[in-house]
Amino acid sequence: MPANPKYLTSSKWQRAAKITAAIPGGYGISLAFFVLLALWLPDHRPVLATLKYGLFILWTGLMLIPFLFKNGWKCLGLYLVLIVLLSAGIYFGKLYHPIV
Amino acid sequence: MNKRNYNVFFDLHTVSGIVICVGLYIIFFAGAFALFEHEIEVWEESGKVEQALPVYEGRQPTMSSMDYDGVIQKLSDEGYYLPGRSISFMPTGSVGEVSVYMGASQDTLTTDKNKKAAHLHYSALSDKIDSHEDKFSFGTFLVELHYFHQLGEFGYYLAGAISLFFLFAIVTGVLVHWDKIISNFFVFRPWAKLKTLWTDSHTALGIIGLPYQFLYAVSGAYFCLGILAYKPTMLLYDNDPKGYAADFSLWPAFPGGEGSSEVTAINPFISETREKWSDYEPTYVYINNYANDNMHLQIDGRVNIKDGFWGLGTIIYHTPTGNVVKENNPFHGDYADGVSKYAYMLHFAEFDDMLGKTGDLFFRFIYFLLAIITCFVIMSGVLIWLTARDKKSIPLKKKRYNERVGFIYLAVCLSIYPVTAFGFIVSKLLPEQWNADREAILSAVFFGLWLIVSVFFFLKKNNYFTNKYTLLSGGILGLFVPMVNGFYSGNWFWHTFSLRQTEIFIVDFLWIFLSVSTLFAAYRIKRNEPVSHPELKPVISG
Repeated sequence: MPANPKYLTSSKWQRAAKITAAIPGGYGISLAFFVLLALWLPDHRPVLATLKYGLFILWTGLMLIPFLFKNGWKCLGLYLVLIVLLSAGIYFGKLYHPIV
Repeated sequence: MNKRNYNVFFDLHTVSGIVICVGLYIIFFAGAFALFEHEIEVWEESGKVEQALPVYEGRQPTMSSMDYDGVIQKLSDEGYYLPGRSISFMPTGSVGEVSVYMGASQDTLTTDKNKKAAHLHYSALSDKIDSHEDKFSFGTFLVELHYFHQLGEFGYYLAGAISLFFLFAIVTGVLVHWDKIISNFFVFRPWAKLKTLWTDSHTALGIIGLPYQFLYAVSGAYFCLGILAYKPTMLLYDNDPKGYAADFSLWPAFPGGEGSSEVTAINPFISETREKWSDYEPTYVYINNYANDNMHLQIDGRVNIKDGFWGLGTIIYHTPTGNVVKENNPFHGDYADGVSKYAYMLHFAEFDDMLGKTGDLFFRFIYFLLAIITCFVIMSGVLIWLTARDKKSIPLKKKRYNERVGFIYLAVCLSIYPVTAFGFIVSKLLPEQWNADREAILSAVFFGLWLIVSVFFFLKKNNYFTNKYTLLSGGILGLFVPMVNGFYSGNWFWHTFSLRQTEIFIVDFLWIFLSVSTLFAAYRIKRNEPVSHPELKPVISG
């Protein structure tokens, strides 16, 4: 009954790319997502309160996705693009809608 | 679900599960007892104090009727230099007892000795102050074990990481199971081969415990990895902790000020707050910069949950002037305030506000059962992993390696049960003159014995043997727990039951319950076939 290796990643580099996307990448996206919402939504308090536990739930979800990709580099690239986009949103949010 | 995704989820579930299983088992096993920390404290203390124990009043003894100024005077009489210190009061769970924590004095004029922080216990019944070390209970030890406090800060983050990957294992587990989630729930074939028994119980019990496990995975990460959520958001406040504190009802850091001869009384502020908010019960009283012109008093507390669901009920006074610096009305809180409140309440299983004392005890017992069930789910997961890899197609070397990992995991996890039972007995029998070293003795006994027993079972290299004899020895030692309590302090469980000394009774009851169930299990455990490693016998995978 162990998972059939036919379907699993065998290359070490592929695995490294997927894990990098999953753990630090997933964290980056979930954090940036909540921070972006906190800046652009009218009230930041409920967003930041939700972040305190929601971060881990969203992170877990994003941790899963890279392993469904056949090519881990594609996923890592996608995650990086998302992080850059969210960060840009945060940059402008902080410029035009700062909390303090 | 397509075949590829199924296999990917399956592999992720296996890998994340097998990596965290030992840590997770320890967390849930110790955490199960951590739910009854206060009861264990009282259980240990009983028989040592002269006066009869009062009737159970719930876990929050009344902080509102305490004489704070009297206790502070007593501290001063005991020789503690108070100016410039922070002093906090918290209920311990024992009736009429509070834990008093004094921070090091910020007063620059004091000597080194007076600057040292101190952790004390004050009992209103005997009007006595004891040091915290004297009171170190095995319950506290188990609480600390369940976030690996013994490993320091690293242990704390490790517990957080385990929680996070536990969440991951839960999600992947549900996905693997998704297609058959309903049909398999009703499948239980205890008389079939071992592998199906493990699989059926792993999935059925996993689904029963799912909401509970999800709650603990998320809240565990919330507590231990909270820094990952909190630190980066400080950027939004331009790295000013005051801004964050103002938004989230945290108390600001008060800078030290000049000393003053005037000492303000605390009691009037407590009564003032209680008059302001009806039915208000303080749960935490914190004095900053005692006897200082920058002295502040913070009171945290609760009102009846029906009147203030989200509300926190925090107030901060600047005591020399009597001004209110900050106030969070317990009747008008919002969701953002309530998140931390409910994270605590759910993780620490504090339901007395919502359900009353009996409901609270009942639900903590359910939580206890679910924690033990989770331990079972973890262990059956390991056994599935083992049996699934014991096939002809797997190279012998790899097979031996897996087998050894299985021996270690089972030996370490299962032996914690008899060792914990033994720890309870030791904690009850330790003579009072060794009180100052309680923590060291209890830790040495627990970890030393755990190591010896684990090594013994590992060397026996027989999972059937490990399983049977940990259950048997744990069951027998567990029955000794209420007996030791009875012989040593006269608190036989039928007495404590009829006298409604629920705290003492519940600890005895938990052990009788656990012992009887595990002795029954140990009696029922049979070798399926007379082979040396019955659990490892080749099975056809399904």
